[in-house]
Order: sequence, then C-alpha cells, then structure tokens
Amino acid sequence: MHLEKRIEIMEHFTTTYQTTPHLPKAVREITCMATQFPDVFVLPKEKDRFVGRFIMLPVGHGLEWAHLGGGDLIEDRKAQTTHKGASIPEMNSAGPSYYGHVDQLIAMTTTTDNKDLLKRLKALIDFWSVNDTHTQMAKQFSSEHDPSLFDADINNFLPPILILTRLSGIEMDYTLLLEKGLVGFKDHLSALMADHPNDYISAGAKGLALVEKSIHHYIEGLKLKKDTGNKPQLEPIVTSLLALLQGPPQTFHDALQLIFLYSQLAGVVNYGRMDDTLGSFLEKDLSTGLISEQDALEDIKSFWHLINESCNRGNGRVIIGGAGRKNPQAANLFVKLALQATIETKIPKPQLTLRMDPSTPESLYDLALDAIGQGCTFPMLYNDAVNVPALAKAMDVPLKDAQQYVPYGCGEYIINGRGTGSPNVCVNFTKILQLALNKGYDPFDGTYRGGEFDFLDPLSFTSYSHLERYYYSYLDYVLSTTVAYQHESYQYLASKSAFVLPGLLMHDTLKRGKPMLDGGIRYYSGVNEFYGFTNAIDSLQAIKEVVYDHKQFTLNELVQSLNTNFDEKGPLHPIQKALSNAQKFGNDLDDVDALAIRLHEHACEHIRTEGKKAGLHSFLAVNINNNANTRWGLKTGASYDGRVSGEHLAPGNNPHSGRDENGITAMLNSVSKFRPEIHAGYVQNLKCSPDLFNNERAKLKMIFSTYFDQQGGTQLMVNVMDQSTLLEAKKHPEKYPNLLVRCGGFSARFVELDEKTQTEIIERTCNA
Amino acid sequence: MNNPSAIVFDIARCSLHDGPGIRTTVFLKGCPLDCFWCHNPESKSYQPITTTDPKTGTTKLIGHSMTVAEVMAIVEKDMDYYAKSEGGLTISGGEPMTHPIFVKALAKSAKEKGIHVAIETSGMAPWPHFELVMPYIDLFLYDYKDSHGDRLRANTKGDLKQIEENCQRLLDLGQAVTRRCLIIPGINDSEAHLSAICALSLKHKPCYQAVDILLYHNLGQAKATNLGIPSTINNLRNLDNKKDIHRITQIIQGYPHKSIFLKGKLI
Repeated sequence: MHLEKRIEIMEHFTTTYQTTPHLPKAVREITCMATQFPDVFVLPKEKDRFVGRFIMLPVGHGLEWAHLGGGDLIEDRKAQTTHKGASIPEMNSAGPSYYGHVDQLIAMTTTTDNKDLLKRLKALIDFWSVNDTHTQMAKQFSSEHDPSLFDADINNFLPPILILTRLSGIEMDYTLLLEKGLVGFKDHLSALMADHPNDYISAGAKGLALVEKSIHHYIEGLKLKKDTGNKPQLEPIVTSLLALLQGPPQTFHDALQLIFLYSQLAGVVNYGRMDDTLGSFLEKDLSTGLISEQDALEDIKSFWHLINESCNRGNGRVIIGGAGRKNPQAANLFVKLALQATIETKIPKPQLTLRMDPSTPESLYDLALDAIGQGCTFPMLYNDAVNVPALAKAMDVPLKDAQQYVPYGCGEYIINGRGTGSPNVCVNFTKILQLALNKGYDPFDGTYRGGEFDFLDPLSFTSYSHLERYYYSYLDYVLSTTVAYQHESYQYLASKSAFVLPGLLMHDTLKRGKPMLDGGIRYYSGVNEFYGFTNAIDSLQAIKEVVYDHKQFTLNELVQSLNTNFDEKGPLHPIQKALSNAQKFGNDLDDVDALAIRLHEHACEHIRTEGKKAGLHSFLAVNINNNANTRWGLKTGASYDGRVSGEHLAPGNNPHSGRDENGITAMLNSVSKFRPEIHAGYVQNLKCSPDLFNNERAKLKMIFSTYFDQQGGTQLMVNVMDQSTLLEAKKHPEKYPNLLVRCGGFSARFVELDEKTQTEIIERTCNA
Repeated sequence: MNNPSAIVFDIARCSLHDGPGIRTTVFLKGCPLDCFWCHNPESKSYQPITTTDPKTGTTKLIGHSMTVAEVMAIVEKDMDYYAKSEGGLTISGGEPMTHPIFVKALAKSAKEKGIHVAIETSGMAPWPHFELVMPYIDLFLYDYKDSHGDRLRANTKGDLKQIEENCQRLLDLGQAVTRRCLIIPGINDSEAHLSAICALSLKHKPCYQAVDILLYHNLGQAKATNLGIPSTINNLRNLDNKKDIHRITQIIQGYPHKSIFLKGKLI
C-alpha cells in the first residue's frame, strides 16, 4: 500500500473520530474501524493457507500496545526505519483504544519529499500527539499523582514505575462464534436486542457485519488474484470464506480461518486454548477422511507463521493441554500436531504453552521435551496441579473457571474468555530500595524520583528489621500508586472504548449487555509487573549481613560507595566484594530465601488488598520479564547485591545470572518457595546444554517431575543451547540466523537481539 | 565423637554422574595419591588452602570444616529428588576412605534417613577403614586406574596390590561395587590396559555391578590455572571425542567382557 493511500485511510479515521463524539462509544468505535477495515487487509503470501494479514497503520483503534512486545534496545526511531522490533507495519499489536503513534508518523515523514503528503502527515501528528489515548491518560494521571514516580514513555526506564494504558492479553472464548457462525451470531444478537435494545449489542452486530464485509473483500480479492495466475492453494481459502458467509464453520480449515480473521479485527494477539477450541473440528475431519494428519499439520504450520509474522514477540500465545477441556481426546490430536508444527517451523512464535495434567498423556509430554531438546524453546511447561487451585484463590474465582487459566504474553495468567488481566504498570523493586535509602533521589543520575513520601535518614536505622520495615513502607506507597493507575487507566479506557469485537467473545458481556470494562467482563482484573525483584532480595540480604550481622561496613558507607558505583575503576572494591559474598537467592539457602518469601508475601498481599479496595476483582503480581530486566537495568544504579550500575536486573523469578551456584535442584527449590496463591504468574528460566538435556533426559525428567509434583513448581521454560554456540553466534551472527533463545517472556532469534540482551542470556547459569 | 567433622571442599547438589539417580556429592579434602592428571588438584592436601586467581588477584579459601549435621542439612534438601530418581548421597574426595570416622558417621546418618549412599574411592586406604564404613555404604564406585603396578605407583603413588585386595574383599563380603576406569591419553589408553579392564569385568562376582569407562577431560588443568595451583598436567588431550570413543569401543569389543559402559551406553 503506497504512502498516500495510508495517509488517506488515517485521515478518514481521524475525521470520523473527530466528527462522532455524539455517537454511543461502541457504535463510534465500529464506525471508526470501518474506515480502515477491510481496506487494510492484504492478500495472502505465497504459502499462506489463511487470510487475515493486514497493514497496521500508526493511527487506529485497538487493545494492545504497539511499542511493547519485548522492544529492542535499538532506538525506536531506528526501529521505524529498519522495521525491526515491534513497530513493524503489518503487525497488528495496536492500541490502546484510539491511538496515534506519533513516532511512527514522524518516521513516515522521512520516506517522502512530497510537500502535500508531508503537510497531511504533520496534521495527523499535531492531532494525535494530543489526542492519543495513552497520552491523554498519562496527562490526566500526572495531574492527580506525583509525576516524579512514573513515566508515560515506556522507553524511559528511569523512574520506579512505568505506566502503560492498555487492555493487553485478552484471550477470547471462540465457542459462540464457532457454534453459531457469523450469521447465527448476528441472529443471536438480534434476539438479545429484541428483548433489550442496547447500543453495545447493536454495535456488536455492526462489528460482525464488518467481519462479513472483510470476508467479501477477500473473496473478491482472491478471485482477482486467481485470474492473474493460477494459485491452487487459494481454492481452500475461498471455499472456507464462502462457507463462513453461509453458516457455522464445518471444517477444521473453516474454523481456523474464522478464528484468525476475527482475531485480527478484534486486535487480539493471544489465541488461548486452541486445542480445546479446534480439537473437535480436527477429530471430525480426520475421522471422515476429509483431511489427513499431514494436511492438518500444514494448516497449523501456516497458522504458526501467520502468528509469528502478525504480532510482536511478547504475544502470540497458544495454549495446549491441561484440565477443563471439553473433549481432551480430540484436543490431544491438536496437541500432537501443534508440537510437531513447532518442531518443524522453529520460529519465535507462537509461544506454545503446554499445560500439564493427567488428561495430557506422557507421550505428548515426551514429544514436548523433544521439541525443547531441539532448541525450539517451546513449549513452556505449566503445572495444572498447582496452578488451578492456586489461581482459584489468587484470583478469587471458582475452580471451574480457574481451570480455564491461560498464560498470555510473557506469562501473566488470565481466565480465558472470562477476565481481563492487563499489566498497566511495572515497578522496579531495586530502584525503589535505592530511592528509599537516598531520600527519593535516584543515585543513577541524581534526579529526584521519590514522589511525596516522608523519607527517613538511613543513619537512623538501629537494626535490619527496622530498615526492612522502612523499605516496605516506601514500597507500599509506590505500589499504591500502581494500584491507582491500573484502575484509573481501565476507567479511562472504558470512557473511550467499548472494545466491541473482543468483548463479544468474553463472558458475560452479552448476558449483562455491557462492554468489558463497564461491568461486562466476569473478572475485571489486572496485574502488576515486578522487575528487579531478585536483586532487591539479594540487596536486602547483603545489607543485613554486611551492615548488621557482621558489621563489616556501615549503611552510610554502603550508600556512599554505591552512589559512586563502587568507585568503578581498579580491583573489586572491598564493599562490593563484601556485598557479593552475602547469601544469594536461588541457592536453596534458608536465610535469604526466607527474606524472599517475606518480600513476596508483603508486596503481593499489599497490591491484592489495595486492588480489591479500588474495585478490581483482583490485582496481582507477575514476575515475568520480557527483556525489560535488561533495559531497566541500564538505567538502574549500582545495587546492594554488588551489581554495578547499568548491569541487567535478574530475569523473571530467576536468580541473578551466575549466582545460582548450587545446581538445578537448589535453584528450583528456591524459586518454588513463593506461595502461588497470591500471584498471577512467575516465570522460571532453565538453561541447559544439549549434552545434558538430551543425554541425561531420564534424570532431567525426574528433576522436572520432582519440581512440579513435590516442590510445587508452577512453571518452567527450558532453553537448550550450547554456551559456545551463543558466544559464536554473537561473534558471527551470519552463521546462526535461526538460533532461538528464550529471553524470559518471549523467544527470539538470538542474532536479532540487542547486544545487552545477548550478554544477559550468555551470562545466565548454564547447566552442563 | 557424636558429630565428627571433616574438611569439605565442595558439596555438589544435583550431581548426575556420581552414581544412580540424582545425587548430592560431598567432596572431602585430602588424598594419599598424587595423580598428576587429577581433575581436583585443590583436593590433594588435607588442610584448607588459599588460592589466588592469577588474573584478578582474587583470593579464595578452599575447604572448611563441617560437621556431619551441617553436611546432612544440605544433603537433606534434595530428599524429594532422591526419592523420585532412586538417587542419594555420594561421598567423594580427595580420598574419602582416609576419613573413615567422618564417612561412617555421615553414611550412617544418611542411611537412617533412608538415603542411598555411594562412595567414590581409589581404594588406597587400610582395610579396617573399609570394614568400618561398609555397613552403611550401598555402592562402592571403585577406581581402576591402571592394570600395571609399577606404572600406577610412578604416576600416582598408588599400590595396586593393596587396592585390588581391598576391592576383592569387598566383593567377597557381598558389597556392591562398580569399577570406574578413567582412560588417560598416553598413559592407559593402550590395548593392554583396556583388555585388562575386560578381563576384570569377567572376574568380579557376585556383587560386581558394572565397569564405567570414563574419558579424560582436560578440566583439571584449567582449574589449576584459575586457582593459581601449580599444574602437573602437561597438556593432555581430551579423549571425549568421536575418534577416541570409537577406538576404545573397538578395542573393548575385541575381548570378552561383561557390563562395560562408556558414556552411559553398554558396550
């Protein structure tokens, strides 16, 4: 699509938005969307077996946050021009609500000399730099809360809080859509409206009409394409599209086509329990001989490529296995083919996720381990026996709904089709400790970032427990601000958008006749992303040992030394050495692990309680990490665990790199000590050499099963790779174009990561 | 002494190669032998030593005194993993059989908790030491460093006669024994020694378990360099490569033998 056409569509969207404030918000939303769709849909690529690719313009309406997705350290601006990272046109992670990504618009101005087009782009920039939803929300929040604490620019990792207005991670329940088809679904909405006329449901019908219009658009487009050259693989697509205009999907292919196309229009980039959704279609087509397993595998591989190329790297979850599936036997047919597709495609997405429970046979688990052993980084392993009951408590939902839990994005749990759980805030525990001990001044650059808090003089602490209580009190203050943002950002989004299409497939919006964030969703919940959590644990432990237990240095000496980054030059500073020698989390050591459990309980309970008070069904901690641990580390001064200024923070729930010195079992014992009933997803990385993973598979399986069955482990993501291969790939990227690594919340081709993230991954403990 | 202590220089949890299942290996400091290829050069002396990294100048104290109770507190942390994998505790060194009182107390304590106990030994210790610990040991991982007595003495200061006598007595008394044969390039990777291993595998009965062939890996040299310990290893090459594995396998297959394993696979 050429630039002028893109500008034209964005202008049409913008003027429609400007001229429709009088419309009910749900109707306004679909009216605005209709200025873009279906025009932005593009024809399938050579090997595609489904349609739904579209050009994501910098202006539009959506759910997610286009900038995120494990963004690179590569400057955003550069990302625009090189099309690296999350901001790639044709990637559909757009939003939130009405968005105008000014940085992308500015990047567009560098691609033309045409004065008229530049003028038109400038008008768009002028309008959206003010009216973009996130920008407006951040402005509103800044007027009510101390702005020194947070930043609306998520690429600015300086303050202790990052805020992100979004409705991320929605995973829909496709049942209604698949059972009724578009025609039946519209009839269903009409029947609902006959009883209770309702703007939201009326907009829903318009939304479904937009899906139908998109199908017509594709049928026309594909016919034209067929005329210009014989493309036999287009035939099944057209057949499915025609069938979808008539009634419910009949075949596996029909169903997959409908799911993908609908999800693109809905702006949903995590696909939920695909085995449960598609299993019965697959079983039927295989048993009637309509398709072979190979046909189905090719369909799934194509779906995998479409997911890989249509969303940013922090998304694209597909969940397989687990409790609470309607027809586990049929679903397991899909599980097997999904694992095979992952082995054969070896691409960074979808983030294939295996939920393990007794209905998922051992043979599929073994196939999953084969995939991991071949360096796929997938599937990630989740333990239903622990997660289901824990989430029922954490999220305050019945067991039946807890069984429908799905991790999305980087590993946050959400109840599939029944809840929101967007992480609209991130906090840096390490930085919070530094601010607490420097009266709100950030030792990283001397700027005040403490908010309105009565700081104490560190010299006044008489004991470690005194200091810990003080840290907790400041932490509470910061965390309360995050609770406020979570709730207020949802409310703000609710004032602007109804999120019609995703909402139609979320319980109980239709029953209640309300959009998701207006009381329609069954579980109005959110999560808070914790960063620097392990480093804060190690820091507190080191202060305890060095200052209070062994009295090697005073707290004041520590603070001074850290503020100059341990004097930087020369041999290891004695203070840094003393701090480094203290116990570290991840070694199954009682003292530091007890401290970790305390901090976890305190922080999780605080936001949970405050979240409830604010009106959220649940507000829970996640410790997931994309590569923000590396990015935030760059802007975080030296920490009390001996980490130097600018060094990465520990990834996810893991020990800081290289500090787990007691082997795999000790590391797993430590990370499984956190009570799962009070969080919504902590992720564990385990890096193994291929030699270990593949030659000692039987013993590793026993380690994993002990971790899951006896230790109460919730989750594990295993990276199988040679340390020497990583070092080689860093030196000679051209030789390793397809080397996949698990960063934390996403997988990526190693050579496409920025250097700092590469280093962080190399430095992680490799079990050989 | 109810709670004896010994100088421990490492405790390796989640050890996968020191006996069956998932194990915790406790390394005791001090060894009567002096194998020049030793992969734990820091373990030879019976006292703690301070090493200096030649690159960074960082000093490190290796070895500290630990009581049986202190060691057991760590060993017990992985009980669940032992139970699942039929693993347990392995006592290694140095030469653990030169710490009979500590080893007996540790092994006894572990047995009382239901933990499987293995011991890694060169066999170079007085027989009464074996008698003392024997009731609490489930498996002896017993070295067979060389079949040539003079060469063994020259390279390690070991006494082949004493070592083999001890081993035979263990077997005669019904103790489970796995022989472990480290193959070192230029020293004992000859057909003569490999054929002797085959003969040994047929001779041992009735409780002989297996022979594990271990391939020399040049780990000790790098370790010595990093610790600033004078290395006695003279650039031996690694044997863990396809060519040498093939050669060793071929030789062994040329002789009658029983239950010989190389890299976990039965030859």
